[in-house]
Amino acid sequence: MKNSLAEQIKTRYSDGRKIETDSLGEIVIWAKSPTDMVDTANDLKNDQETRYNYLTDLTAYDNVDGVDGDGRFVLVYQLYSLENRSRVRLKLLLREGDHAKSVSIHFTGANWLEREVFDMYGIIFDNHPNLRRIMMDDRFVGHPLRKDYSLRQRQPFSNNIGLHLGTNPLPNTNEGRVNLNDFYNPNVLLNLGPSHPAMHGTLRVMCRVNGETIEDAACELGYLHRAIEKLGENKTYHQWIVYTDRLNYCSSLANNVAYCMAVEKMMGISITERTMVIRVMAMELARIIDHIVCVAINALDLGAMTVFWHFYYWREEAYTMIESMCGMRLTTSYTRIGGMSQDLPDNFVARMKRFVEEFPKTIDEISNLLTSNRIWIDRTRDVGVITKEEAIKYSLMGPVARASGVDFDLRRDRPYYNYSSLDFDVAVGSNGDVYDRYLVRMEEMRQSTRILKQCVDRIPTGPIWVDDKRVKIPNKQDVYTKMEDLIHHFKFFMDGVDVPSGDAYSSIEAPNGELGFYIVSRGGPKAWRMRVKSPSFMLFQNFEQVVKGGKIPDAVATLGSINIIAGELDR
Amino acid sequence: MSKDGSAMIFPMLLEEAAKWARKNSLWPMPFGTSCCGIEMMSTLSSHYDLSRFGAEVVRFSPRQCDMLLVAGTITTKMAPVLRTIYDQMLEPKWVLAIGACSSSGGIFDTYSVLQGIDEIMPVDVYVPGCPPIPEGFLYAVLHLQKIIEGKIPRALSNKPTHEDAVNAMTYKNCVSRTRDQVIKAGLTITPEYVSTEKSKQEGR
Repeated sequence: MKNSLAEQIKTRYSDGRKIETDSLGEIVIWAKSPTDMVDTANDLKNDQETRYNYLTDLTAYDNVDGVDGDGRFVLVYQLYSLENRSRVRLKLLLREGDHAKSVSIHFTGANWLEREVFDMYGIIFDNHPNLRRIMMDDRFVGHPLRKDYSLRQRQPFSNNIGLHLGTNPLPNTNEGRVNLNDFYNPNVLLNLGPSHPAMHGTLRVMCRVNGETIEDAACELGYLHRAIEKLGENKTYHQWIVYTDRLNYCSSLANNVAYCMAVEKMMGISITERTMVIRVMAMELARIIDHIVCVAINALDLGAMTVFWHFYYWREEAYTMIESMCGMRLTTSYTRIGGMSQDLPDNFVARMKRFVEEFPKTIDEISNLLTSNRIWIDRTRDVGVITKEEAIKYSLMGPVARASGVDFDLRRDRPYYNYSSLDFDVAVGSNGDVYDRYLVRMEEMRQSTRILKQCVDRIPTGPIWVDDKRVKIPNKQDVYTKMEDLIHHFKFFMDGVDVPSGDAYSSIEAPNGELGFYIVSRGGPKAWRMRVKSPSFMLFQNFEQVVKGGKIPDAVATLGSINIIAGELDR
Repeated sequence: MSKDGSAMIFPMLLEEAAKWARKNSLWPMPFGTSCCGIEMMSTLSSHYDLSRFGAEVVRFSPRQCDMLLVAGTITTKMAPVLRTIYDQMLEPKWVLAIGACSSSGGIFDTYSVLQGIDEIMPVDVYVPGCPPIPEGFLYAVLHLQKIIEGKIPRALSNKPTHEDAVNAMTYKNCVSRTRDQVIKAGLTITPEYVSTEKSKQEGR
């Protein structure tokens, strides 16, 4: 099936376009011109055979060294087909000053992604509905991800960005100010965040409200933009592992695994059986913690304190377990390229067995508290509804998309590690409201516990490190006693891992959705481009639309249910 | 009042009494932006329970708070917001810089991250760690209580005023320091842009 699809694409789209396969065997189509890029994407989407109807990612990278041809930038689309479960990548070379064409007519989710490319690279997209900076301040000069922008070139400003509603016009006001005392004013501007009890972390939403109904909303992000992607180009592959912890800090184990998996795929390393199972367990544990935080905080925002206190007991248990595994509670850095930093501790199996036995009881208790609770249902049902079509249009993924009825789970659709041999169900909702998202998350926690139960009984014995000189970190004892290992150790940490040139996109089903790493390597120990495809970014884009027409308290409920993590959103 | 109803008098200076009251009823203003904010949540929740030390009434209104908990990376875009919150808090106020990022920028020495909040506000206690464990957090609060009591002198050496903070955050300062670097890097900062930016700053 997959091969024939590749053949079909090759025959259909080969006229004048270069078609190649990347280091993972996925198809890459080089478009001829910006118009051709958008048209090809649309063709691939509407074609009954290919049906690449899901825009996974849109990004760019700097081609200042000219390796990929004559052009300053390369624009990249990642398309995914929900039916065929296959990926295709579209690329386009752009010269300095060339304009690209916006694809947001065909894929609505491209809106913010294109804004990010504009912000980071200065590529202008024609026909874009709202092309302005997204991460950096509007007053920022230069484009930080270009290779000629220095990593440490800071440009601070003395005041915050004022209220605005994106491109939507601000209401007419007297002398530029809205009279807040006028109760019947239908155009009151309301600022939520970036430091606000209802807005988590550093999110900021600006709304135009009529009474309590939100009529217009615009999100401002970038308050936690820490340049993680730029750091990816300045640190070695090994050094960058610590930055993956700080993407989605509620589930750092999953990020570690996703990143190391991407690098390993590029190097052609297959990890040992034992490491595989440990990593699967780490990911599922991360999923449980992340969902605990999401459900607990969502309930806390709506006034259900008990859930928070009750769930956090198990979160602390999980954290204690994680601490025994890798020595840190939150920022774990557990994986290494080709292995793990440490083997499992001795008491791990007993502890995990207790966890999988006891934790489902708490899930049931929480379900008893919330699932049939009148107040909870009133606050959450038919609130923040995302339809199935909208979810696909906005490229939503993870529990949010599944709650809307999109049957999409990478663990099942494109299994990695030993997920194909594990027995679990994918929870799919139907209404796409806050209540369904809550139910999906609760069910996923049960399923994760089920996976953990299966894993903990069959952890294979054997080495955790792959036997590969390129990546294996020598044993500390040998480093102190053997000359060869000492040299190797020194070379490894001073020079880093040499990743063959090429590019690859690899993703996992992280707790929030599809977390992908798109790595462009030019050889050597540092990545040329390190792109993080984060689920929160797409979810927050949709949030802007979902809250329109709802009440302000509904916006709070919706925000809690889609679980935006600022570290991952802004990167 | 003692058990039999007679009044007892504690010979205590009013100042001492105020110190005692302040130290045991700190009202935190949480400013958790990233990873450390999650650990702050753990500290406040049932397992570690910050309320044992009288500091659990988390209020997001800066005017009611006296302890600013800065937990997480502060970007240059966020810095003015943080300073505004600090300015809105009433005296006496104390600031805790929780984690490596808010203390020094941590591992994020990049174009968008403020290298330590002490560039824009005075800090009483720095908590190391990335993120610090909840015990470290509790230790910092206990340490702060000692500072309030007067057992440990309060560090006043680095106390940026509002003007200093604005200077640290403004383009003016940045331009004078790094303009040459920007031009060397071949970026598009023209002299006209700089002069308009400067006049804007002076006009304000």
